[in-house]
Amino acid sequence: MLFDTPIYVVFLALTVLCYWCLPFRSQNKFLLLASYFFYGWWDWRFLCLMIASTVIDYFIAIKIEDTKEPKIRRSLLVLSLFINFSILGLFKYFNFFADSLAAALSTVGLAVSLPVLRIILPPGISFYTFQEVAYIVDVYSGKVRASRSFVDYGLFISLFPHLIAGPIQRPSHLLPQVQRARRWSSQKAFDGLLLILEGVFRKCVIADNCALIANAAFTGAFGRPSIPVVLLGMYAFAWQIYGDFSGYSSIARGSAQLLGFHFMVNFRQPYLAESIQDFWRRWHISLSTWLRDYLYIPLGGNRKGEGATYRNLLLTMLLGGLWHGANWTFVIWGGIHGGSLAAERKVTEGKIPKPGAFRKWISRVFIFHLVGVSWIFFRAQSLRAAWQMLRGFTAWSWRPEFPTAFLFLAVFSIPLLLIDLHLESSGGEYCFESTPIRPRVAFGLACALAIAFLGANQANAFIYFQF
Amino acid sequence: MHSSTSSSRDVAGGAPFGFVLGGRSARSGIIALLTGLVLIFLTLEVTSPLVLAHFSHTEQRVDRELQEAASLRAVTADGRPTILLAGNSLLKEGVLIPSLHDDLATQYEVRRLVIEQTHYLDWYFGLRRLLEEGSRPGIVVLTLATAQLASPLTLGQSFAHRQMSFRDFPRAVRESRLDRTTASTYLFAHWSRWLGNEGFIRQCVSISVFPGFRQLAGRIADHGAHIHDPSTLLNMAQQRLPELRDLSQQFGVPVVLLIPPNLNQDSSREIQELGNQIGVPVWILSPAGEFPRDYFSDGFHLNRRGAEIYTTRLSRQVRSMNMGQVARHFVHEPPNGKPADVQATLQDGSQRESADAERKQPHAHAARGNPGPRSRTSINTVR
Repeated sequence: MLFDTPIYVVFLALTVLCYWCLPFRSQNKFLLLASYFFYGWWDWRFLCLMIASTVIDYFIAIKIEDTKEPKIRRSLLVLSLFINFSILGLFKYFNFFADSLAAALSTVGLAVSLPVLRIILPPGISFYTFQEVAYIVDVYSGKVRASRSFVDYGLFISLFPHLIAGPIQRPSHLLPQVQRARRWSSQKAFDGLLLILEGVFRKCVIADNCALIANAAFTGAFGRPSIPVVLLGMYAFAWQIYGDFSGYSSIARGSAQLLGFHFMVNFRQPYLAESIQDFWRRWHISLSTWLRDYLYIPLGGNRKGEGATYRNLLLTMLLGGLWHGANWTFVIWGGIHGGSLAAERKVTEGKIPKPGAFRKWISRVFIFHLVGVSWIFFRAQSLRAAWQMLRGFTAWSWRPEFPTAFLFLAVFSIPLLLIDLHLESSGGEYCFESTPIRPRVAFGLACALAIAFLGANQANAFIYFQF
Repeated sequence: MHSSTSSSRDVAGGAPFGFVLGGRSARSGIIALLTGLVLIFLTLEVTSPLVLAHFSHTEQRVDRELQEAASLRAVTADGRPTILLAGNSLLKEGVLIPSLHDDLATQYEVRRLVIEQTHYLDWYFGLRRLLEEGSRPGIVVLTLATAQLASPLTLGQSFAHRQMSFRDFPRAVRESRLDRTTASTYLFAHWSRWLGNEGFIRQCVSISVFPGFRQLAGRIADHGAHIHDPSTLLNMAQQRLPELRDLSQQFGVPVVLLIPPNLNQDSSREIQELGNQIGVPVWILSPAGEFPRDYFSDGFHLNRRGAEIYTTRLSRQVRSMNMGQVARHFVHEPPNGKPADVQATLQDGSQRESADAERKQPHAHAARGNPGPRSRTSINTVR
């Protein structure tokens, strides 16, 4: 069930109405069933996998908490991590590593035929696996108590707004909300509705229209890569992926607020970042904080000297890249970010100076373009395709459609930039948060009209659904 | 990397929603927002066909042609059999309807129904709905390229609204291999005028907002994967030609498949043979590769010159079939398992005509100074 489809509107409306008619305990059971229905809508077999994974971690967490013996606790932790990452590895990475191994062996003259599993990637598996890992690690380290109610834990893992593409919820943030009674808040519900409308606007108007240009540039519909083609593709994909993912996150947060939950903010105006470090404070925050807390810091973070810090940064971002998908393009994308973070740290020695307004904008433009180049690897189907695209920077060609394409791109990306500038200056979590109700209602209705008349005709699934 | 968690309002320590400030105004905000959304939707629902008809000549034409097709009977009041030419832009660009009308006016009443960007499933379900709702043309000539015959695509929500009947919904979902979410959108679109029309309205908006959008749209539109593989084409034809035959039998209206000219090989001959076996006449008035590139405007659609030649051939093909016999056969004696009769009736005439045409007409290629084997090939393939 995609967030920008009529069936989701019906599902959400019915769920919210029934949910608030029930007492607290029944609310959780109802919401768990609704979430399983939402997930099973794709394929009930995927639902079985998720439930099995949830049940395993539920019992392991209780066992970890009840066990005093450190060795056994540690063994249980390792067992849980092994199971979680094995499931993720099998479904997401088996073919990737098998193909890579076969290719590597063939370069040294060993032609081997490794088994290839024809498995469809279950939606959201990377997201709920990371959430389960966070829970187990937090229970192990005593940061959260193991949930004794399967309904509560199951709901924490599978609450439908975050189930497919996050934001990856931290146990300490969401689990207590699941375990306590929620109160209806008109203010939060109103904010939630506006978030949903703004999210659909970001997805259907910004991302889906930019996707038309990005797809044409990356699939060769504009001809061989040249400077205009690469710029169109790079800018269009940059705004597409931002509109797409931030739109999804907004709809998820808005839907959660209608149910009385609060989700963490996942994006804070990332293209206004003034450094790569700053970019990662603003982009996919739920993933970057997860990587920081459960990978970078356990690796040693910046506590073991300069060299180890650079290594940890690079390793974290390489694995972060691989998390996105089983393709070397994602690894290179992670490598660019890891390398940039390390280089930035080396140059600035970890202290980013506060520049003036002009230099701030120079920094923003530079970081936007650096991130944009990395998006070429993220978007390209293969390393070869990415390289061909990059080589387009050395060629020139012009087509009569290009002025319209650039105008089209500007019309559909500038509104998102304006929204970001507004959010950046206001420092708020919601658009026009501090303004009276009427202008906010007008903003919501303007979003609805824009969606109606300017939404792209071609429906595209959310990019992060494949991760 | 992060130096702090990013959740702006950590609620772990207190009630998640302790701040119910401004509750009353927020409540009125919710009411205003929901009311506004409902009003917008209702307005769009009521006005979208009017808006579309006002802004789009294409939609005006499609609406008009649909209405005409819906009211067709096997023969006109003055006793002429009716022919419905159905198809997509290949038909629109490839057949000059005024010329065809003039050519056939004394013998036949020809009506056209063109919906651009449509494929087999659009037409299979579209014709079903049209016939279920009472339309009874004397014969339907469905124009589709072989790749379109094999395609799993439809026109999406517009198809669901305009061409798919509610009864056919489960089958349309199955045949177009829709996931549940898309299927549900089709179901809503079947009932909603806005959902059915939104794609066209957005196109109109883009055309009016962006200068040169039509040219850009040609580049950025996703036409779906093109099917070239001959075995796939034949497999799909094997599955779909019997569907057309059954449709024909169910409603007593002969359906002919017309395969338009193609620059490249398209397995049309094999599909024609398959049609012979199955009992669906397949007309090839110009075999793949016969028409040169300069008869096409863009490699797919015929230009004026190509269309003139093609229309002449189609006119001749129609005149050659013993339509009166066909019409009488289907009007008075619903065929019920007699596809071969129809086939024979439709083919005999065309084969006779082929021979006539070979005698009378140096054909199109003479016009471009290239008579010879190609001309003969083309005539021989008109069956």
